[in-house]
Amino acid sequence: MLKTREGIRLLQLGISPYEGDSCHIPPLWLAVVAPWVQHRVLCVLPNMVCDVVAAAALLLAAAHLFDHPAGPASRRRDAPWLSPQQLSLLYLLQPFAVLACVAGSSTSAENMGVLLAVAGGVTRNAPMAAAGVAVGTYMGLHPALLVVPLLLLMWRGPEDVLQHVPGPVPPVVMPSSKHRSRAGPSAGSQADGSSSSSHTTAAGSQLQNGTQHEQAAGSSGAELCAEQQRSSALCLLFVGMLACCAGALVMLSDTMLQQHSQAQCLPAVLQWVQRQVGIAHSQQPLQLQSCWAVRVYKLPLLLEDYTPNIGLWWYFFTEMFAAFRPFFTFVFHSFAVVLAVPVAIRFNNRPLFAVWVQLFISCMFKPYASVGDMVPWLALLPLLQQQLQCVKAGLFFVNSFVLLLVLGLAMWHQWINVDAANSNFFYSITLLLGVWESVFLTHLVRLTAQLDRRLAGKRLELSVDDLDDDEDAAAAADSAAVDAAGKDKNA
Amino acid sequence: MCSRIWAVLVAVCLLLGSSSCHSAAAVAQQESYTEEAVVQPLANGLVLVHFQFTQTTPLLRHYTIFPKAVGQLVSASLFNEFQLSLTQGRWHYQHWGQPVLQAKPAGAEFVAKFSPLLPAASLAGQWGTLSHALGSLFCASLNFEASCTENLTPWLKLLPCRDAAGLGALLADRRVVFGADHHSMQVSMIVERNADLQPLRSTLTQSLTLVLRPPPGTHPATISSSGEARQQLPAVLADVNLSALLGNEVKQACPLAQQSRVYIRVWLHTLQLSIDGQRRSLDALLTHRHITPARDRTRPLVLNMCLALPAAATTLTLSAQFSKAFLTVAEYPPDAHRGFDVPAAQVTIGLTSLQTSGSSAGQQGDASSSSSSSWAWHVYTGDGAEAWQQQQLQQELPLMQALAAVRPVQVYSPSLVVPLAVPDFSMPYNVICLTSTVLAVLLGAVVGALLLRPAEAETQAHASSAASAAQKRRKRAKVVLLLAVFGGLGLYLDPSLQEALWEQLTALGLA
Repeated sequence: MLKTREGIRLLQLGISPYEGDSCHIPPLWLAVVAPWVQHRVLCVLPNMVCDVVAAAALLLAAAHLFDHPAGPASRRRDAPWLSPQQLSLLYLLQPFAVLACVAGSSTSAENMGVLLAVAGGVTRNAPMAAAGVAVGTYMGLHPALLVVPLLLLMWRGPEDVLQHVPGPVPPVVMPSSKHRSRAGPSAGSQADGSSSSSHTTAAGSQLQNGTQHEQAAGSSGAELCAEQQRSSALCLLFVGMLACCAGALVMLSDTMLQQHSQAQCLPAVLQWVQRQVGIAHSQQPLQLQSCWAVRVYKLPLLLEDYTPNIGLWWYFFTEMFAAFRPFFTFVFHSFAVVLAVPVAIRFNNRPLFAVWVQLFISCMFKPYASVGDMVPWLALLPLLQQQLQCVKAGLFFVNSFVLLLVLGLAMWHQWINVDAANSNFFYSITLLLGVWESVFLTHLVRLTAQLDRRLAGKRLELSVDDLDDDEDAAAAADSAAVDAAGKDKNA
Repeated sequence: MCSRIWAVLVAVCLLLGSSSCHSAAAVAQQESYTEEAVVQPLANGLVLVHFQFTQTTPLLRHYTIFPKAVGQLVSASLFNEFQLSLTQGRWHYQHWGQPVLQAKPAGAEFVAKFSPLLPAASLAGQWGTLSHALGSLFCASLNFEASCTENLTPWLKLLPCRDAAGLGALLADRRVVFGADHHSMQVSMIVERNADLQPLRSTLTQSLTLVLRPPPGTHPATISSSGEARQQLPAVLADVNLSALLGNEVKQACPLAQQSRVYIRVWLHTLQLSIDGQRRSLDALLTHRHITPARDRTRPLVLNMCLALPAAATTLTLSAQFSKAFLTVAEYPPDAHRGFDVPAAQVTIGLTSLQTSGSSAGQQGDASSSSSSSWAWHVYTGDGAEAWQQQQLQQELPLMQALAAVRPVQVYSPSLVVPLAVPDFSMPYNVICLTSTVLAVLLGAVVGALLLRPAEAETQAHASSAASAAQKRRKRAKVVLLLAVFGGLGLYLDPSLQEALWEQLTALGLA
């Protein structure tokens, strides 16, 4: 809250908060907090409101996911682990959210924006999603990367997170003799212990996790066309509303900074455009350098401050020589950006999971990471119960996470306050946290891939003997495919 | 205001002309040189000695006594006035009272005023030129500087007689000078310029303030010129030889980094005011303020505030909280664990007008201004006769003028040394390796997990031989493509590889 208070005080003193480097909070957040800032407890009232709104958005999203499933109604679904009310209550009680609220940090507003965006995407409500992304991007730049998975979410609608996942199909050892190989695959497909063959074939008939598109695929072509048109209209509306919301936020911020014209954004952009075109006078200094958007967003983009946090950036750039700084800044930013599109392509049948992965990656690669940035993906994690029920080392993940956080606090205290340790102790904890996050992410991505395979009725693992008989196995696979297709037509 | 202790004030004053040994006597007479010293006993038995050397010249070149190095500054940088002070040790206001002239904070202080005719955009360059030149002249980096011998020697060099004769001879023993409790050397220059920014008259003033401990057995009340603590004082009786005019060498400006760093971040919203122990509202007492917020690595925070205090106030406390900054390993000084120096704050008491401190207009103090009647003069006429005289102020004596002028009282706070949290300087390679490993593992694992398609492996295993042959051809094509791409890249980047290839081609007869 230090920077917020400093910005408000500078405004009171009649100085633009963005003149110096002590305030990197966006202007509208300063305006929202300013009436309450003197009060001892109510100074975090805006944060509390943001958390409540975020919890309401989560409630809406969860209710929609549980009650309006995609896919055929006859599909077997599990009961959710947590009801939507419990989920939103859990969000409000989440320790990181409480910490961010009590500290008065602007992360609460960013999380609110992110969860609003997710709720809007899940309910296919384009204005809500656009407002959420705009607010999130306004507070911190990384929610802008949610546009890609959100477009996917709006296009396809969310997946059915409660769909029952059949147990793992045990790998079948294919015999080496030619005769028995023909019967192998078909026998294997029926050897599912937990489900009957009808389940298997029914699951096999849906090669992908059903979405509204696949549901419409069975119906007439006109409905399909209408569905696609609706989706594309929704996406266009989303993009348009996003531009409007972003523009509105910028204009509101400029209005707030009326008294400090050098900090306003739109005149600066106008001046820059005029100069590029060649109209305006060139002896005036470029106002773009001092406008609020540049001053606020230059800090995370160029990493000018090396305050230690739980991310990986600060020590890397503290120890980096100046000549290589621009290149590595580019590399670190590209880590956050580069995985957005591949994840969306790979999990195009699971848009909600793509959103979750993007939230996780944004949290990992934020320049100034804090525990408040972990709130969105932790909030959405209970919705991934299909993956979570397959996680093998759950206790390990939870315990190591808690241990790392506690150790991180201890090492920070030892370095900064007590000066008994040096920075490497804290750095090691951030490294281990990075390792934990990468292991967790990889594990969940693999689980999701296996989930898809399991829902499609395929075997998960290849046994060694499968590779012996190429030709016989090929013939057997052809016959098995013919059988399955025949059963599809019958079903 | 604290009351002062005025015991016996002894002033040794030498008024020198510069007409003795130069052929162009008429021109030389326009240059003038004055040496003065003031000795003031302080409480605790310490003695304050203040030297002031003033030189003026109307010339642009061909100086006789004016130091050429400083004279070149006048045309190199278009300043109107500058003051540089290098100080070691604090002035203890509680024990020593008010100094004769303003005491300076520990470290370096550099103030310059430029002509308002200069365009604003050139000010940074002018400031840089001036500070570089002065820094090189006094062997001071002007960043974190405590005064030392290296600074005194060039300072003395600017005097016409250096430390060989005159009052400068009193400073020949560096141990005494730098063993003082407080010592501050100052250089200031005032240049009058015409409308074309050509110098008309330049005045160089050097002053040195020392607070010394007299050796035991010397009564401070009976200090006379012969009984001074400094055994060199009898040297003042040596003749001042103005014919030994020295030529000064011009030193090239060193390329110094011109960065003012922000080591701490002061939070203005925590600025609190207490008068006599009671919290008061700062906004209510603030009449004028000028705040320039800090920008990291570009400019420091500058707080100029004018407070109207109630008349009965005795103690004023201004406090603010700050956060320590974190810097890159290249930005720490060689002894990083010592900490960083935070410059002292300057408080000017008694301004009734809006003029900033440094001007001597408008003053509301009582004991700070001295009346000339309390000054006792000891004039040394150079031929061995000493006489105590009560004289009126002689207008030509700049120190006396400065002492008698009404001026506001300026007080400096102590400067701080702030230790910052320091990263491990031995770790660049390790940190880069470890972080890069973690990130590479992350990216590799995630991309591998994204690309995981066990179904493809299964269908490939069951594929026909024709398909597998096609696949083998694809694999071979990929290998060739990879080799071609990397080979091309290597050729592009490596000239020696290009030469080798060229040789091979010529040997084969193709090129």
